[in-house]
Amino acid sequence: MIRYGPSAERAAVAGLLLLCGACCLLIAWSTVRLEQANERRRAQLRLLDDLTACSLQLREGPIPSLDGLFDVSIGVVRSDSGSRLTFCGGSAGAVR
Amino acid sequence: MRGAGRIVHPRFDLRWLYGSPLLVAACIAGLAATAVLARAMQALHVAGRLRTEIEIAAARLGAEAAASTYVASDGKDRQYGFDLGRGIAVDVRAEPGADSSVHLSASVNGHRLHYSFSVLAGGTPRVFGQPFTVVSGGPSLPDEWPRRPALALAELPELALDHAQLVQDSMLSLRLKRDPGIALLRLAAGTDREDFVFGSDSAEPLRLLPPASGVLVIDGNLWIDEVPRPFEVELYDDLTLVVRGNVYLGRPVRVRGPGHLTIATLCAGGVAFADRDGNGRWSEGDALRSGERFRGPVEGAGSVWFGMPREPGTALELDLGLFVAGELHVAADSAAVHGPVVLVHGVTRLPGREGNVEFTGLRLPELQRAALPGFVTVGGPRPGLLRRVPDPKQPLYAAAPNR
Repeated sequence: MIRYGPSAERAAVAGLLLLCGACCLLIAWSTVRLEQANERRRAQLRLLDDLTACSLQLREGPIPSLDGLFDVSIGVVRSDSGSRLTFCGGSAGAVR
Repeated sequence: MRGAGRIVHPRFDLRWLYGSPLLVAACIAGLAATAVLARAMQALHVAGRLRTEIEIAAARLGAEAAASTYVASDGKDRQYGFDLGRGIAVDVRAEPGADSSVHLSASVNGHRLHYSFSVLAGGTPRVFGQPFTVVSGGPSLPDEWPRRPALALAELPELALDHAQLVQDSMLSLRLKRDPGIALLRLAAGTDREDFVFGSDSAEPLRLLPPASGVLVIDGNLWIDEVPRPFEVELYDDLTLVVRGNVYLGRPVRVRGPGHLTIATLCAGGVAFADRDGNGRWSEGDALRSGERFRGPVEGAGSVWFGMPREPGTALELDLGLFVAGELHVAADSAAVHGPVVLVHGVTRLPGREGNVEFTGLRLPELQRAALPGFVTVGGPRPGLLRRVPDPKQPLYAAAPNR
């Protein structure tokens, strides 16, 4: 018995709602991932700032906690003028 | 009547409001979608901002690498490129400027950032990285003073005064002036050398503008006279005062800004001695700090006084570094020195004063990427600390349109 309208119309609306809900879930999931990535990048930038401020006292070698900021990794190199942060690997550091 | 028998089907049936969950569900879904989209937009906005920050960080790292390569290549390499992936590519161009400064222009994805650094002949002697250092073989220090590794005399930092500016009579910009009366006011017999007073009575901090070399030579004694309020200065570049005589510090010295104030004394024809009776002049019972006989000015030379000899003990807090070629006399009840202190001879505490001195090391200079003015550098050439600067080609004010 059809009481409130054609069942096909209701089914279509329900389907659209489900689709909308699924899209919302997908967007929400992506947003959570993006927020997590933002948080990680923010922490990495903070760490990079701290390390830049005291880079002269750092130990030589790569800094794994900064991986992911760029495709190349960031590490500490030592020289006569102290330690400094630099890019490691890739085509970073090419002199033109 | 036209249309009287037709049944009207309204598009929106009010019964849906209470008879079906679809409309309510659609409303809830719409609200949820709006909230989710708003949060997603916010996250995207934050991601965009972070991307800009990452690009700026990449530009700075690129500029740092370029500065090192520039100095290592002796200024021959002037263009550098860094492909960091993820669409981030940094291009840096170096242009030598006046004196030993170098301008770096780093461009990354449409942003252009400007930095500058100085090419240094070397770094600051390591001894200035310690709060307190004493030359080995000198007189013993008070028992309660901190034990520090002693420095061999040959390892003492050397003064480099080639480009130093000599203070003739006064330097108004530094509130430094000759004052013949100060010694007679503070010491019973005055002094033989010229006397210079450094400081202002103003409650406002005094902005110090050091000369290009960062070094001033004072041919005489230097006084920071005892006044109830501290001497506050603003200093954005390092300044070293080389004193050919004694230094009398009568009140706290506070330094605002990143600059380092250092006072170095020289014996300069005088003889250092321990003024045990605290009369401010060589007299019987005082101890010479060299093998030779006493000669030269009666007040000796190279000594630093914490507090005034004839005034009651006070508490000093000093945001400065000291290189004491003579004796350190403590006429204050207590003193805290935040800069590095290098002591060539001993310490004499005046009778009746507590003489507690603390070397905090809270204001030590940068050693590797900076050169303390007035001292011979150590190590090879290197870039100084990188500074972000505004675009030199950008006008301070936008050009007004013609009328």
